[in-house]
Amino acid sequence: MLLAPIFAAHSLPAPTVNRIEVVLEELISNVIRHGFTPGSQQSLRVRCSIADGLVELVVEDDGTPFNPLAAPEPVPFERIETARLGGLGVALVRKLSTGLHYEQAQGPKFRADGGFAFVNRVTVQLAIDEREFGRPPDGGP
Amino acid sequence: MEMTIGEIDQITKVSLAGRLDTAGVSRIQDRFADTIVPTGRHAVIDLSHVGFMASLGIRMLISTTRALSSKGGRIALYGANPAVMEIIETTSLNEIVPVAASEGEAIALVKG
Repeated sequence: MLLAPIFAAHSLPAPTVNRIEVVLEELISNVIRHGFTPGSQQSLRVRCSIADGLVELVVEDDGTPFNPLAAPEPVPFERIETARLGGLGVALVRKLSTGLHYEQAQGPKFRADGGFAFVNRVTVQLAIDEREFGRPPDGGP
Repeated sequence: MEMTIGEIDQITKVSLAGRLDTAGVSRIQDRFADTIVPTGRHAVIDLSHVGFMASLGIRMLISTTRALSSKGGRIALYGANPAVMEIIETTSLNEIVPVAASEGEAIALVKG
């Protein structure tokens, strides 16, 4: 992925890199499915910052207003016959992250000088630590 | 994303290789279900060459397991690497689809 050189430069542990990849996969595919109109000229921007043991990812787009975090918490699996198929992606993002926030731009969007004006912004924080695979962050839902 | 189909003791064996992300799943999901479900036979899925799995991969495994289950067949997964296993456990997929450490154990699980 395009961010791999950044992760390598910061020596992020493999489990953290995998969680970042999963979170971005879920958030970006959500934007494309729910926020974008096929054939249109719409934009999506991902920013990544790393500081104080946290990775912060900001995913912004200028598509249709859509809050991916508004979906109710999914019902836990009980049997294969009744297992839900929807909402798995956002539930996964919630469990892998330590902080998650959605913001919608107020007022009309604009594109001064071809610039980017977000409509939807999702901010995610993930803890960087040396935890082994298979142990999601404590306190996660 | 690649998919190889085999058979062991009348059990379907499907080996997946690549990334089970949006693009990878869209490439194989129809063939995956069409290979496993119509026969009604038990199936084991080798994930040892899957390097990445996100929610669409989980969804594909649930829907195929459910469809096969309605015909009396069972599915077990095996060979997941630590990154894939973390996603299987985080989504609790392992509570409704059995996950084994080896092919032999997966076969024993589906035979019941």
